[in-house]
Amino acid sequence: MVADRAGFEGFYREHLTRVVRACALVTLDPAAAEDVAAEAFARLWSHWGQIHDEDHAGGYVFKTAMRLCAKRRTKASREVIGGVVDRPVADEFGRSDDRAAVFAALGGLSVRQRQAVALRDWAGYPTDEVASMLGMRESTVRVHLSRGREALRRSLSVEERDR
Amino acid sequence: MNVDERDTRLGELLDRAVRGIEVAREPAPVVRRGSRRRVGVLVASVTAVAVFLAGVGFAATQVGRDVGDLSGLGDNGTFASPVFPWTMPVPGGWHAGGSRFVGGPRDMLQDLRTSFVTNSGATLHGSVVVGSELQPGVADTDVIVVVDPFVGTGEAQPMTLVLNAERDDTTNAGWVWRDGKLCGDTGCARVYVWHGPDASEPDLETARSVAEGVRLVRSRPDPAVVTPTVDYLDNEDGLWAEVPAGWTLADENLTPNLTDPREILSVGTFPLRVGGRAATDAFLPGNAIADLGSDDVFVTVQERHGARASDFPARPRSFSPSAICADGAEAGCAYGTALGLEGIRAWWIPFADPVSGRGFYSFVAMGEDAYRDPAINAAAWRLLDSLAFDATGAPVAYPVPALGDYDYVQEAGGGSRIWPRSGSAEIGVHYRFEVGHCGLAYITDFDGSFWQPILRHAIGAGSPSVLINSDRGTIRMSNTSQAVYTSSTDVQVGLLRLEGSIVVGGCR
Repeated sequence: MVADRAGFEGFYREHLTRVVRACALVTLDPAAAEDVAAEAFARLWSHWGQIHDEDHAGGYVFKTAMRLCAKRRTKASREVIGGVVDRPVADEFGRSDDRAAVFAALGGLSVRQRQAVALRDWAGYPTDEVASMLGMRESTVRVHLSRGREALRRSLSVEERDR
Repeated sequence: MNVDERDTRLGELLDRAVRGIEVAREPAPVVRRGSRRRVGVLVASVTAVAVFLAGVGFAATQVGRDVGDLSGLGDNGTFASPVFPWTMPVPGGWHAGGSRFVGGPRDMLQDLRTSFVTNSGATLHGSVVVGSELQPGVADTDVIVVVDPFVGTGEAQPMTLVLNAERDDTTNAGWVWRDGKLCGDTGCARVYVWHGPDASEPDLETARSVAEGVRLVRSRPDPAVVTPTVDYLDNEDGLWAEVPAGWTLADENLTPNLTDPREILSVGTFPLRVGGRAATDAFLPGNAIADLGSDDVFVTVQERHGARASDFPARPRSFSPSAICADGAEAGCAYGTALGLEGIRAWWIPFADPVSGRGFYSFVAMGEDAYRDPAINAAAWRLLDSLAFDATGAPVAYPVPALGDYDYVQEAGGGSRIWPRSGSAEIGVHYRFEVGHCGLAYITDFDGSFWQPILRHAIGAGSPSVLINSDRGTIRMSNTSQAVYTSSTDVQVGLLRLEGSIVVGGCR
């Protein structure tokens, strides 16, 4: 049980980086990923008393983060009244060739495809859980996965894994 | 391969791409140069996550009027929080600001990092990180007070901050800082006083007073603090509102099963829970109504899809119980009794908005104590009065009316004083608008006035390029004092009307 609020901080420390990285694979912007992760945890915090266990909490925060990622991408670069702005544009985490290449390849995918690939192939969630997190049917997830992987392999010159 | 099977090779590639992304799991009081203070403060944001937004929002409205100078607030200017009661005094003549906050209130939770006040006119960008490299324009005479929220539970609540001993700033020669912590039941804040070697003793004394004046308040905000409002723009629903600072804006639809009418705004003085059993009918969010206390207010606005203005009563010039319930029939409009909601006064107020032609139901509920509190009572009706709606359908863009050339006079201190030349425009109408090569933050002349982007002082490396570049977009007034510029790339920037002339120099 993690119903006590003190336990939240431990959960947060343990899972924050993972959620930020997942979000980065979707938003392709580490700074935006931080924002999304922070909001996801904030929303988790507001429901902390109703969380039954860490699996539940993990699912909740990933699901929330993915939803916010999609929203963030939809509204990319949109600033709203009262919100002008000062977003650092540099990636202060440091860039790598790997990241540049992979992010460029991910940029050719739809948000849904990126979410599906990130959750299934990077985070390792089963397809049914990915479907639940993304609020879509498993068959739809499989379509996104298939197309996303195909596009990634093509962009990154990765051969399809042996059958 | 089977699509259900995990592609570990791709997974490994993805992992290599994000492996370098590390985030601090705890806020550090001092962060090395170049590190990501923002990330550290993510931890801080979680409990007190929304603490500062309205403070900055409020500050933004003030700053927008006078480019960062809050002296107009007098000696008791205050940052206030919309969700967790939190305040910080802002001395007259000092400047206040906050870290970036991008997105509307629905995105507010994560977007505030730090707030600060400083004695100088230096323009500070983004998060002010104690111990990091000084930002351009900061002088050795400067004193900066920085407030960071962070997670903290079960701790004592020192309502008066005690500052620790001074420590050297290892990054900036001669600079020192002190810090202290205070906690409330909604979280904690660490407060820093950071100053240069030439800071004056009076300024340091003022800074200490500011630091010691930070309050995490257990109870609801004082009505005097509630008075400021936070601008809320919902592009999806074409809605603008001024939400009292200190009130909670629902970031989710509280009536998710209600499709028509559809809820587009819900605000309360208490945490708003989604859903719940119908209090009286399916239109009302049961949980929110159930949670409404005696000193609480709840306001929600729902839109009837496809309604014609003629289907609804005309929008009153000003919302109030007397306006809705004529001829002393106010008691009969205390609808709560009829609804079986004991101790709650409530009003359903349908209205047609003449600007947008849209039809709405607004619902206002107050506990008895709130109803009798003039400040809170009035704030609810002012919220309704502030509502501005876009016309549905694609906007028709007209050219902005213009009248002749600028009149100007040379100013002795440099620059030129100019007067607006634009003709009048109509509220709610989208006009084509071309931003000059110096950007939206230089000269924006519309509806007979100049306009200023909100948080103009915070223009930094990450600001929308429309602030500093030419662009062709549209501009629309939401009310007489506020407008929104939408760029060719769909960046939206809020604008506040300036009165009279302005002095301009060359643009960068």
